Amino acid sequence: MANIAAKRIKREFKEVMKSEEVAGGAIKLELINDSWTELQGEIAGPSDTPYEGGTFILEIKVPETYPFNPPKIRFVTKIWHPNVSSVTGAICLDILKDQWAAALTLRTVLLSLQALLSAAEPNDPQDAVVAKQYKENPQLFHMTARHWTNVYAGGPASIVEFNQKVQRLLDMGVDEHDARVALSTYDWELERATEQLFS
Amino acid sequence: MDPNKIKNASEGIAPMGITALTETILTNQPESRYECPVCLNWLRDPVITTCGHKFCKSCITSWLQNSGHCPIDNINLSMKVDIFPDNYTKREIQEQRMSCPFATKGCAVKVTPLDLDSHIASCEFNQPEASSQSQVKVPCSFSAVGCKETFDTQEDMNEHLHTDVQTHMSFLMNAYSKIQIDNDISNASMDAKEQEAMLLWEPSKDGAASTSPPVNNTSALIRALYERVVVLEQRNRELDIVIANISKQLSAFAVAKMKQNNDLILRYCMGNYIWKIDNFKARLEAMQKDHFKMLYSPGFYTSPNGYRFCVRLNISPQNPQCFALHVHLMKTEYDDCLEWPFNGRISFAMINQYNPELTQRDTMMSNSTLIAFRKPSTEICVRGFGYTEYAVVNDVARNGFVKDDTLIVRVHIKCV
Repeated sequence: MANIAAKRIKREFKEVMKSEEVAGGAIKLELINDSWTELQGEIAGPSDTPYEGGTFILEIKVPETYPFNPPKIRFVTKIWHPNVSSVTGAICLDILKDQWAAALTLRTVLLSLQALLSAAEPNDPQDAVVAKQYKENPQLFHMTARHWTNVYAGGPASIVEFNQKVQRLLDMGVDEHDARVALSTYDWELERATEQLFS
Repeated sequence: MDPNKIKNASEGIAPMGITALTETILTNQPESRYECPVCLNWLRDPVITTCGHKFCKSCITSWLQNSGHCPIDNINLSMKVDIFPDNYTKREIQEQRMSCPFATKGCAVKVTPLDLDSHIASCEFNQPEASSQSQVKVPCSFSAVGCKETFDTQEDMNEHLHTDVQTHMSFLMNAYSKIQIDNDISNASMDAKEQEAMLLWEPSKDGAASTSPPVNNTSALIRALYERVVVLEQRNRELDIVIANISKQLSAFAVAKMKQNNDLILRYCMGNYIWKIDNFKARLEAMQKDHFKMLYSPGFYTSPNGYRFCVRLNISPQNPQCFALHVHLMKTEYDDCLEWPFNGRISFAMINQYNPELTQRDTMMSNSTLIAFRKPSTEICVRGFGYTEYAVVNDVARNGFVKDDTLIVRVHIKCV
């Protein structure tokens, strides 16, 4: 790994460790290997959002050309959000792409991701299905996001109706995550989700 | 906020062994006004931008290669006009003195922050303190060949020996090849090729440290060879491109040459043109299917700057059993210099390729009243002159006029 990238990550790591956000439990950062190229981030779901109470794990890969190119980050924890792919966890955020600036750090990026959870950008979506629901049926989106937070990120709010529908599909032999994706995609209409899964 | 709590939070996450590392880095943490926002290190050759931000010269140079904006506030920056050396900050940093982190072990060196890292790397007090550990660590059994691992227990070492076989193999391989080379050199038998390769060794342009001639070691040799390989590969690639271009030109020339040859024959045939119609059978079938289909010969000249004619062969519109054969005048660039209407003798000969006696010969004289012999106003004069019923199709096809699927018609046009 290029010297400057490793050196900088070391310093950034330290910066994060000292930061108030870590102390307050808002973000976390861990090393995956000794070469400083892979890290694991963690952000707490912001309050007053459907993600509240959840803990979201992020995969962070540091390119050799860091900080001249942005780190590659994706959500490991599955999340229902217009700017995050519900399938791959890929994130659509300008500062991770063309708006990256060398003065940004892992700490500021993690905080930006947390802010993204508070304020989605449905007009620049990563997941078109989620974005459509966000715009056309905000209440259902909110419920779905809360349900995902509960199931995948340890959030507190369990939604009985959704769990029952997922269970119905599970009883038919469908994989749990596939069932949840299909139901979320078709606004929790059991018939349409079933049709899609079995067609 | 409770400081102990902060400490616990960070230590809970940092994996074992990282703490010691970060401690050293911590000691060399610059104040924010002396910190480069790109490398987060002490500003080295600081520059200041028109938007008022300081960076290491090399950091902002690298950044601006891909982006035209300030890494901090996204304002447009140009390397040429917006970046200035900040010698004030440079002096401030150079005036700072920092103690070596090994001062507690007795190092009295004080250096500028910029030199601290290189000093730490070479500081004589920067030794792993085996004695200060409560338990003596056992070095790996491969330490003699370069493995730096140490272990608290025999089990740890066993596991390491088990998992890092590959690493140890490469250590052994390195050691082995080193011994080999040492042997070779001590025998003073440096191979002629090797010496030659050494001569090829050129110091890199930027590295002042590496300007000394190569020493007798493998790494210099390998480097020399590697550089040579790179140069040769590059040259090879360039030559490949040159060859590709030349062969492209060559085939273009060949095509042009062939065309020129054909043109020459047509221009210098002196009105004596031999028209070979190949693929005759297929062409005939096509014409029989569609009576509007006609075969035209290329235009040929009665003299290099003379009249230009072409021959037309088609199924006679009046009598589909017969071929029609005509000549047509064609435009040339010197038509204005010629005398009109054309006056001359036109001879056709359809060659019998099996029995020359059966060759069909006909001669006609031009008729100056016909439009066909006036100066052509189109590329090919619409009116032709010749026979609407020249030969019977079946006769041509069967009685020895076609050989190897080729029909030959000789035309001779002579001015009078």
